[in-house]
Amino acid sequence: MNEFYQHLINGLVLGSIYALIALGYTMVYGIMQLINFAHGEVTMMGAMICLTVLNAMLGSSGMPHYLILLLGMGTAVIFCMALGFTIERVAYRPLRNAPRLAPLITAIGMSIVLQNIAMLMWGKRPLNFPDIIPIARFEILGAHITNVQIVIIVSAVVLMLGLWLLINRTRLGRAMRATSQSPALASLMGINPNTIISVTFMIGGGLAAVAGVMVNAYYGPAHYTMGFMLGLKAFTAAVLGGIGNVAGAMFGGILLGLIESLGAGYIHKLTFGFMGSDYQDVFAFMVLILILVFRPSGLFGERVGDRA
Amino acid sequence: MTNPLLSIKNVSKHFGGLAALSDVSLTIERGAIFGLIGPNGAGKTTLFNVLTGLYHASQGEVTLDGISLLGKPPHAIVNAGLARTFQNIRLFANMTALENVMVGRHARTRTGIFGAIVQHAAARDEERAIESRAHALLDYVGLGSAANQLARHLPYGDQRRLEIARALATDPRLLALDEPAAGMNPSETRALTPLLQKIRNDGVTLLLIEHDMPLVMTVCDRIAVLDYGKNVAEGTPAEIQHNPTVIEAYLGGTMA
Amino acid sequence: MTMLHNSLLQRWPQLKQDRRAVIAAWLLIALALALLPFVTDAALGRSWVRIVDFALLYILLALGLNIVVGYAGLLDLGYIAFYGVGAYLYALLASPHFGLHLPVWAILPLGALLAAIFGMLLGAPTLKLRGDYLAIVTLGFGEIIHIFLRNLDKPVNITNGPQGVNLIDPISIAGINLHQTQQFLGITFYKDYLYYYLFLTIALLIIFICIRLQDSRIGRAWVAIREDEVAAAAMGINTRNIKLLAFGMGATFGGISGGLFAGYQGYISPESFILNESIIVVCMIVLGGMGNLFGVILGAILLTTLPEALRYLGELQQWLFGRIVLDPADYRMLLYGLALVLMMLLRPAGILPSVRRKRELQPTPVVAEHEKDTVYDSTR
Repeated sequence: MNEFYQHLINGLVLGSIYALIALGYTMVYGIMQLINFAHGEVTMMGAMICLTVLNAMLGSSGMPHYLILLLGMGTAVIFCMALGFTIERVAYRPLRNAPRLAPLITAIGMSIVLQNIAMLMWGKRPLNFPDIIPIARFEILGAHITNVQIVIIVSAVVLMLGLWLLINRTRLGRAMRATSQSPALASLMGINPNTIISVTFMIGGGLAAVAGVMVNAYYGPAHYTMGFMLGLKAFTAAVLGGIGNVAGAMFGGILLGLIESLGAGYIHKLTFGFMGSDYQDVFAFMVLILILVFRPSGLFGERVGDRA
Repeated sequence: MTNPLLSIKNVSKHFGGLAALSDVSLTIERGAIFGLIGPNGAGKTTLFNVLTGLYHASQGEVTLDGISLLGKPPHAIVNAGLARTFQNIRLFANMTALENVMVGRHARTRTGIFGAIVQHAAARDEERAIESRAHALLDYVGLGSAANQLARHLPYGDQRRLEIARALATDPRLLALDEPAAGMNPSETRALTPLLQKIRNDGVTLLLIEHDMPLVMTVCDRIAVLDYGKNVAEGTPAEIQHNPTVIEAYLGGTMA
Repeated sequence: MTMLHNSLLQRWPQLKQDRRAVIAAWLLIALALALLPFVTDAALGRSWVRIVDFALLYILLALGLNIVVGYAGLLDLGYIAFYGVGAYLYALLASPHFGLHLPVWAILPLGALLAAIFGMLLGAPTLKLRGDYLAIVTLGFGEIIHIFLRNLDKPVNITNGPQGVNLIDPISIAGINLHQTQQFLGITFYKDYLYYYLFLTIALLIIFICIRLQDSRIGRAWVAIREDEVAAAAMGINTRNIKLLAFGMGATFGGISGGLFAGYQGYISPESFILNESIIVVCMIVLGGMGNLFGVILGAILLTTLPEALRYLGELQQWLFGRIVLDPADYRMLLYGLALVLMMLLRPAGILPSVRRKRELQPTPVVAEHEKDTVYDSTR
C-alpha cells in the first residue's frame, strides 16, 4: 500500500467535506462581514436529523435503503435550511447596526444553545450511523478508496458546481453578488438585501447538512459537540481560500484536508517521534493563525483582512 | 526657503493600477497657513493619509524638520510633531470632550501601568497636568463649558473644534486640518478664521484642506492645487485666483 | 422595602457628604465580608463556602478578561488558556510530579509572568487583526494549549496527560498551611475559610488595580482604541503596544487565578481549561456589563452561584417525582448560551452597564462606519 497516496485520498475526502461547510461561512461573510459561529452546529444538527430519520424508517418501513438514505438527507437539508434562516432572523438581524462585538457574542451564544439542545434531545453518547451502506473497496495507485469516499468527493464536486452556476448564471446569483458588493446599492436596484441574506443562510445551512451527514456516514459517530471542531476547521478553510471568496472556500477546504491528512500522517517522522497524530487538530489552528497573521486575505482572496 | 518645516518630494501613491497621487512635491514654511485645494477625488485626503502614516507612499520622500516621516507608523508621526483632524469627524464618541483632549496628551506623557497603579508623586502630577492642559485647550477653542459633555452629543461645529483641540493636545509643530469647515453653518465658519490665525500665531504651522473658498482665500498664505493626483499650481491666494489652469480645472469661473 | 429604598435614594447626596456615614458604610461592608464564610457555613453549609471561594476565583478571571474585552474591546475566546498556564505552573513546581515544592510566593509571580509572556506571544502577531478574526484566533490558541496539556505526557512526561496532576501542595503563607484547620483567638478557621480570606485579599487588590487603571493614561488609551482605532493612533497612541498591554494584564490576572486554583483544588486536569470555561467567563462579563467593574463582579457571582442553586432543582425533582427528570447540570450551558443571546438582544449593556458602554451599545451608524478601516494601509 502506498502510504502517500492513501493520505492524499483521505485528505481529498476530508477536504471536500470542509469545503462544503466552508462555503456557508464564506457566503455569509461575503454578504454581511459576519463570522457565523453557529454554522458548525448547523452541520451537527444535519447529522443528527438525518440519523433520526434513518433510525425511524429502517425498522418500520420496508423501503429500500438508498431511498431511506435520500429521505434522511433531504429532511436534514430542509431542516438545516430552516435553521439557518431562523438563526439569522433571531440572532443577527436585530443587531445589523450594532457594534461588531454584539453579533459576535450572540453568534457564540447561538452555537452553545444549539449544542445543548442537541445534547438534551439526542443525549451525550456518540451515535453511530446505521450499517446500511455496503462498503466496496477499490485500489488505485497502491492506495484504497471506498465507494463512500467516491460518493463524497463526487457529490461535493456536484454541489459546488451547482453553487457556482447558481451564483454566476442566475438572477438570484447576480442579486447575491450585487448585495455582497454593496447592500445599499443593491437595494436601490430593487434587490431586497434581507431576502438575499436569508437565502444565503439557507443555502449555507443546506450544504452544511450534507456535510454533516457525510461526516457521520464516513468518519463515524455523531455527537452533540462534533460541530465545534468541524466548524472551526471549515472556517480555517474559508480563511485559507480568502474569506468571502466562494471558489477560494472550495480550494481552501481541500487544501486544509490535505494538510491535515498528510500532516497527521507524517508528524511523527517530522518531529522525530516527539509528536503523534494526537496533534492533528493543532495543524488546522496553526494554519489559521499563520494565514491570518501573514496573509489575512487568504491565498486567493481580495484584501479584506484589514477592514477593521 | 532655506529650512522648510515640511517638505514633500515626488510623492506617489497607487491603489492597484490607479494613481491617487503622482509625483506631488510641496514645501511648507514655518508659521504658514498652507491651503490645499482641488476637486473631490483629487487626492487631497490621500496625501494627508500618506503624511500621517495611514497609507504608505509608493514612492517619494516626506520630511518634517529634516526628519523623514515615510514608513513611520501613525503614532510615531504624531510624536515627530504632525497632528491631524479627520474629514469625517473621528472623535471618541462616547468619551467626554475633556477625555477626548486628555487622550490627545498621550503622546507627550509617560505614566505607564506601574505609575497608574501606585500613583507616585510624578504620576499624580502628570495626571493633574494632563487635566489642566486639556481644560486650557478646551477654553482655547471655545469649548470650556462643554468639558463634561459626551463628544457625540456636541453640535457639529463644536465637534470640529473639539477635534482641533484634541489634535493640539499632541503639541504639534504642524497641524493638518481635513476640511475643518465642512458641515459648519456660516457663523461657525466665520468664527473659524480667527481660531486658525490664533493657532498659527501661537507657533503652529497649519496645513488646510478646505472647500470653502472665501475661508481659504482669507486665511491662507500659500495655496497648492491638486487635480487628478497632480500638483497643478501653487502660489499666493491672489496668484491662484488668477491662474488660468486652476480656474479651468477647479474653480470653473465661480470665483469671479 | 421600596420606601426604604426611596428614602435612602433621597438622602443619598447628604449621606455621601457625611464622612461618618461613609466610614460607617465601609466598616459595615468590611464586617460583612469578614463574616461571610461563617454566615454562609451556618446558613447553607460548608459546601457553600467552597462555592463562595470559587466565585472569588471567577471574579479574578472575569476582572482580567474585562480589561481585554471591556476596556480595550478585544474579544478573547481563549482566555482560559492563561488560567491553565498559571495552574499548571503551580502544579508542576509544587507537587510530587517533578518532586519540586516551591513556595507559593515564588510560584504565583512566576505564573503571572509566564501567562503574561504567553499573552504577549499570542497578541504580538494577532492584535492587528480585526475583531472577529481575533476572536477566532484566540479560540484556536485556547484549543492548542488544551491539546498540548492533554498530550505532553510523551515522549517526556511534562503535564501527565489527560489524568492531570495530583497531590499538589496546599498554599501555605507565613508557615500557615491553608489546608489545615487553624485556631486564632479561640475561633476555628476551616480550610475553605482560610482560602476565602486569601482569595478575598487578592480580589480586593485586583479591584483596586482595575480602578486605578481605568482612570489613567493607559485606561483612557484602551477606551480610545475601542472607540476608534485610527483616531487613537492619530493621538500618538501606539495601538499595538497598548493592546498588547491589555492582553498582558488580562493574562497576568488569569495566571494568578490559575495558580490559586491549583493550590486550592489540590489536583488539576486539562478538562478544567476547555473552551466552555472561556465562554463562561465571557458570559459573566456580558451579563454583568462590559467595562463596568461592579457589573463584572456581579456577573461572576451570579454565574458561579446560580448553577449551584440550580442543583436544588434536581433535589426538588427527586422529592417530587422520585427521580431526576431534567438534570440541572445538563441545561446549565444551555442557559448560559441563552443568556448571551438574550442579553445582547434585550439589554446589550449588561445588568449593571458601565455608563460609557451603555451609551455605546446603542446602535449608531457612525460607529459602524468607523469600524470599516484600520490604521494600517491596505496596500502594504
